[in-house]
Amino acid sequence: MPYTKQFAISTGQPAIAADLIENFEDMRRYINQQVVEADLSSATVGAPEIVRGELTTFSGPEHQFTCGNGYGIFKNTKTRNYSGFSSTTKQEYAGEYADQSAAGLAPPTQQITSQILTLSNTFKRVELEHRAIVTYRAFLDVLLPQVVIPDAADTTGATIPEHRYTTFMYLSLDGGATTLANTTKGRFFDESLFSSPWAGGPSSWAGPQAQDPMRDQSIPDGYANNIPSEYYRRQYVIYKCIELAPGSYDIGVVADAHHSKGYVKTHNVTIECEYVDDNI
Amino acid sequence: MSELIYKNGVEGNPSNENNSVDSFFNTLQSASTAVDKTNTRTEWVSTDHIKWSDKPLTRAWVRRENSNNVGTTYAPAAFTTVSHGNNGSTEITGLSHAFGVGDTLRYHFNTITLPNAKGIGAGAIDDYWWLKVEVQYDTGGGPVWNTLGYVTRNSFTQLRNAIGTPYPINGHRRYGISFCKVFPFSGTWTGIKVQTKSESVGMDLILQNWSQDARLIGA
Repeated sequence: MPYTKQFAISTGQPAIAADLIENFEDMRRYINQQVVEADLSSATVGAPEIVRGELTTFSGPEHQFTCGNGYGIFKNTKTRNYSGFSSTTKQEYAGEYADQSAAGLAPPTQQITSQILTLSNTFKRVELEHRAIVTYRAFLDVLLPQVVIPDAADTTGATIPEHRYTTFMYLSLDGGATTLANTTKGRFFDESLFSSPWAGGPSSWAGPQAQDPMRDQSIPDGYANNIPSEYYRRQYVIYKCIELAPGSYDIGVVADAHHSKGYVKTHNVTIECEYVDDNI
Repeated sequence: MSELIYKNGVEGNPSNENNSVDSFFNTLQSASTAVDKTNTRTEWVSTDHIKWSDKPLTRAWVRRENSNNVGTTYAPAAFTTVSHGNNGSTEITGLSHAFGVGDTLRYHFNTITLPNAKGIGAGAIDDYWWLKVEVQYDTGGGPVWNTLGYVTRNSFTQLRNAIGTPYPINGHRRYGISFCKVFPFSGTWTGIKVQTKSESVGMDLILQNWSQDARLIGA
């Protein structure tokens, strides 16, 4: 039942202070306890209204808003913040590929060619109490330094850079068990200043032709002469907005490394969760 | 909510001149009987008590993404809508989401470019490509396309003259752009699309998977 004023104040007459106070007190009582279910239209109050905001300092200041959660991860470029990853965890030996342009085919051994590694400082466990729109943004500065290795594919016997394959990054919602490969793929190349041994050849790139970052799409592919190493550098700049059901999610970036040394320098990650009701 | 205003508030005059005080309480009474079901942020009472500014909330969400892993070439000299993939075009029309003054359209588009240095040796200065986001809304005269934010100009290579070796720098890069538009007027949001063009027909731009996400957020 609605609020009802106790005292009417006649027009043109002085308002009595005690009457005004009591009318306001009636309103306070109505707000406090006297609103009954019948006063609220159906579907008026949904999940976003019921969820309470909460501040936690457990793992850095975070605030769970009433409409969802917000998180942020930022690591600057100081060396101690570098996150490393490596292909050596799977004992991959690129020389096993007899023909890099056919790397999509199985290699001649049973060695693992794809292994998903989680990247530190990018993951966050998110508990969703209700259906939500979740937005994950990341800027990762990825560095794959030149690694000089003896290469079985180099028949000249010269020591050449590893400049032959692609490291991939994806987003994952479940800690890396599965990836959003088709919508969040990033490609990364080692930064090799490479020129003379294969000068005049089609490309300094020794990996699968379709993955050549310097590909021309016509003859010749790539440019062999003194390509500055930084032109192979890529950042992982990703944005993913997805609707998720209530549950627990481990959201972050995973790498399928094909280089023996890799680092992520800058981490800038935000996760935004917004509980939604029937209106979305 | 109504505000208690003492009209003719001068010494010697009644404090309830023009019945303003009593009207205030009457308004409270009528408002408390009309809990507004369209306002999901209502805590207890009336249509005007809680505004969108109290707790911003997404009122409409439109998204689409292409995940077929197939690169498509765009080489037009005029703006062409990005439309390839397995889920339709970036152009989504037929929407009908009302917005008011201060409401915000929040948009993001991202894609990945595939390498293509076609022709840069001969036309190093012609290697620019453009991208823009268009939003369609109706303020009373019918739906009209408007550019969201600004038009971006990007290049394939690092070389700005015709001498030397140009190095392609665009291959396998992720491209993403976000815009927020705060509407200074009322209307209806009806559509969204992304368009691209090359400065020279001799240049190819190959785009692969993309995704777009647009939200209308209450002011």
